Amino acid sequence: MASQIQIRVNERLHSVPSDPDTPLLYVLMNDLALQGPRFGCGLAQCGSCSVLVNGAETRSCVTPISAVVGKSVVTLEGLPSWYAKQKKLSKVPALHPVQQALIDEQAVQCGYCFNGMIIQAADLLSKTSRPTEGQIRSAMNGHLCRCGSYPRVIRAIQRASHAMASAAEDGANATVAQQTPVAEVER
Amino acid sequence: MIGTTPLLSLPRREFLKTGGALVIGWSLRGTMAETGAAQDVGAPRGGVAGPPDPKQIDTWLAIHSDNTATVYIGYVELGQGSTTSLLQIAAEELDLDMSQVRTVGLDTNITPNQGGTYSSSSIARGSPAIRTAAAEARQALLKMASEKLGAPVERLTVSKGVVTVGAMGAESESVTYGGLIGDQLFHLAFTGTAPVKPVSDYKIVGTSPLRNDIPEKVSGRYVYLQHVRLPGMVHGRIVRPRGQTAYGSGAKVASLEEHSIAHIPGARVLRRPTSSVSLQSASGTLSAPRAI
Repeated sequence: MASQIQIRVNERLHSVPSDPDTPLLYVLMNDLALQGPRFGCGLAQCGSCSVLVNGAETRSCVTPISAVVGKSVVTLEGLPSWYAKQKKLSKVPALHPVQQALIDEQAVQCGYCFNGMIIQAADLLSKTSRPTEGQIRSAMNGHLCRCGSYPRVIRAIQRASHAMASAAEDGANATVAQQTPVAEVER
Repeated sequence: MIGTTPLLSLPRREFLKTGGALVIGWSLRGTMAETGAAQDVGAPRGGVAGPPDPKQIDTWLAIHSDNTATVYIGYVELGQGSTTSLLQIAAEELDLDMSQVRTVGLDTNITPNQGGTYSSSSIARGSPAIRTAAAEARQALLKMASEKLGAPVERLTVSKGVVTVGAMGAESESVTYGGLIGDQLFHLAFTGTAPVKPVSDYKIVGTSPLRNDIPEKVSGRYVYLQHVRLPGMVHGRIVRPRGQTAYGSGAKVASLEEHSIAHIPGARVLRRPTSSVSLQSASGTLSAPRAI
């Protein structure tokens, strides 16, 4: 039987009536009406459903909601905020540098898988600020894109990495204004 | 999760407002919100349900008071970028800047029926109508400008929707498209006979502007079919026989203990074909398919 379960999503505590084994994705999509994580394969193979759980990329389609109780879930919607907190920015940017870089590289086609692409890339860059192409390929290996956007995704992650490095050099004064330099990197 | 009302409960009208999304995965929110277009999205444009009359210029585009245009496109944005490239074609013929044109989500009450979106052929099949409709609208606008400015059409030039007599200069008289027809209907039959711009004069077609669908797609604001929520909507699940060869070997549903899901409020067997069972419940919980 369903019971009330409390989960923290994008810094907000939600109480949802749910069976403990309900996949986190269903709760995010159906109860919280979030549009970032989405159903692709339902088998943790494609990565469309990815979210960050305590900062680590996690497949929400196979993660029971009970497994994230007491943890912090961040979806695509909460990514700029999560980034601002991580980098101690005084303002939350409109977009995470990865999101901006994907626009700059015009990497997206249908975009359905990009929720997971962005989440995974954000996870990677939070741990490895200047990844090699090999590290990027390895990290992104579990995210499938039928449109075949991979080469541009790799370029976008490299671009975001540069943007984040130059933002870091600017120190703690980093603000939303730094979205502009992001767009200019390597152009 | 039983018995919860979906958080995003859209009455049908509201649903239609965002709802180009349902059909095509293209959100109207940004475009309509930022432009404040007078168009009552969701209501049939022709007053009757169904696609507007393709033989009318108004079906294909609208010129607004702020000297921008909405172009109505009959194709789904599936990642091929046609909502950007078809806008380029319209902007080219109208002599508008890309920043002055936008489109709305595909909606069978609002956008023209241009057939299915398939085989990478939206430009090949769809652009002739959009190009000639734009050319015809431009021709009508120049005629209006000619009367307004008291100068023959041959002496008029257009740049970014500003019609000027003779060469652009400080002393020349001008009028904008928006000033000529802003948010009024053309009430003009689409004949397809207006001459189109020679390719050698192209300024926008052949360039690569940023695609208009990507910002919403990377931010999670883009509405895919899977995001549509209706009041009282239920979730269906199909319980299939196990194993890849089950269908091939003709597996059939032998028995069904419907009482096994009786304890789950809202869950019921919807349909029972011979080889699978369809369930529905108020949420996407796995309890019902597992129980059965």
